[in-house]
Amino acid sequence: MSHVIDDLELYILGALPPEEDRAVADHVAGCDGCRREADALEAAVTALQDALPAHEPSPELRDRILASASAPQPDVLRVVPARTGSITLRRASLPTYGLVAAAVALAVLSIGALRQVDTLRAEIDESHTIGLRVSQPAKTWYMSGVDRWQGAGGMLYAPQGSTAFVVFRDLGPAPAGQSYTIWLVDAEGRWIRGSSFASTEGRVRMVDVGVPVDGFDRCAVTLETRTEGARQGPIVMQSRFY
Amino acid sequence: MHAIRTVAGMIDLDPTDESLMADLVERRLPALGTLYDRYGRLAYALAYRILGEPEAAEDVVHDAFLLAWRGAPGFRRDRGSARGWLLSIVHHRAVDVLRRKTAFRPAPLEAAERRASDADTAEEAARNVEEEGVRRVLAALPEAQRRTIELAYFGGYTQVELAQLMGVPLGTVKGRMRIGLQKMRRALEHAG
Repeated sequence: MSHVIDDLELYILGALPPEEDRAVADHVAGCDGCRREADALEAAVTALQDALPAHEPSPELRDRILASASAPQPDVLRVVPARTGSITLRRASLPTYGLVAAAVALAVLSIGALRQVDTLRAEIDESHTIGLRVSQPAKTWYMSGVDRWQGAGGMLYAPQGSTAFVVFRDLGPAPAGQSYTIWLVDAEGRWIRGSSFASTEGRVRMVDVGVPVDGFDRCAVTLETRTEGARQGPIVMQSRFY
Repeated sequence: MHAIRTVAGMIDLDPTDESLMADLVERRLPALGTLYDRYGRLAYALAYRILGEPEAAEDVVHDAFLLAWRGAPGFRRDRGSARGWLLSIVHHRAVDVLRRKTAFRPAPLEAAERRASDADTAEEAARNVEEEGVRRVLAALPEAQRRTIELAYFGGYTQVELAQLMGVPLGTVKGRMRIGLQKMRRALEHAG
């Protein structure tokens, strides 16, 4: 790519479309001359930032950030959404292939033990897949728990070209006869039902959203008695913006 | 609260941004806390300026710091400062959110009022003087240039949108930005 001197002001101010922004960023990273010019212009942006009126965030924001960052590698419950006709809960730790080797070494070569090893290997492979999903570049939206679910949270991941999913934190089991439902809310305030699931154990879960997420404004989770139809139950958690 | 690093018996209560970034790469959570203590208010002020709503601004800051935590291994010192890198994440995220909400566009900077603090310390007073100096630099720009820069940076408008909004050709938008930023740069160098 040729020098991007003409686009640097637009780039520094964030006024380029995403594709052009990335192209300029890539060029600047590898071009000393354009990099020097961009650095000099950045002083003006720093000045814009320094001139901002002071506003205080809530005291809780710091703890919320640290809590999200410190969320441990989860025991993951892989849930197939209820709309597919079944709910399958499988518990697995994130991949430790040494565990597989140990399991194989200790297993008694009986049919039952071999089945257990096969199940464990399948769970570990699946956990590895889930870990890969979380590590992919994706747009994310954070949902905060409300009322009696305060302290719980969920992060919706929307990887490009892949199914959107939510990873929950500190979400306890749904009461008997009820299930959690993921909702997407558009700019007009319409609530579109996503997946329903019932947590029975474990602290963190991962659930596919079940519907495309493009074009929606917010996301939320409610507690419902039905797996279809309009929203009726209380809000468990919700995002501010989509 | 400062991150504490022990190096040969010494305690560093004021780590540099570079050392904080190195700690983030090493997954040391207190470094993220220190980074927030250092830039959290500014990040929030930027997000709030763009979005105009405190809850949305907090969500953006939360997301941005998490992205910084996850993306720290990708930070390159030769590509800019840690502050610049972090605030660019905040800016991108805030503009991304703003662009999905077409109804809201923030007013230019002259409409944003600074709230006086009853607890101004000497440090805050010094910062106020510095901020006032920067505001004078901005105020000294011709209105068209200042407005173009503010709408681009705080309004999230692309160059095409700015041209349509202001009713001028694309080249005029670019020219206003270039000249305005160059003037700011010279004024800041002169003041510094």
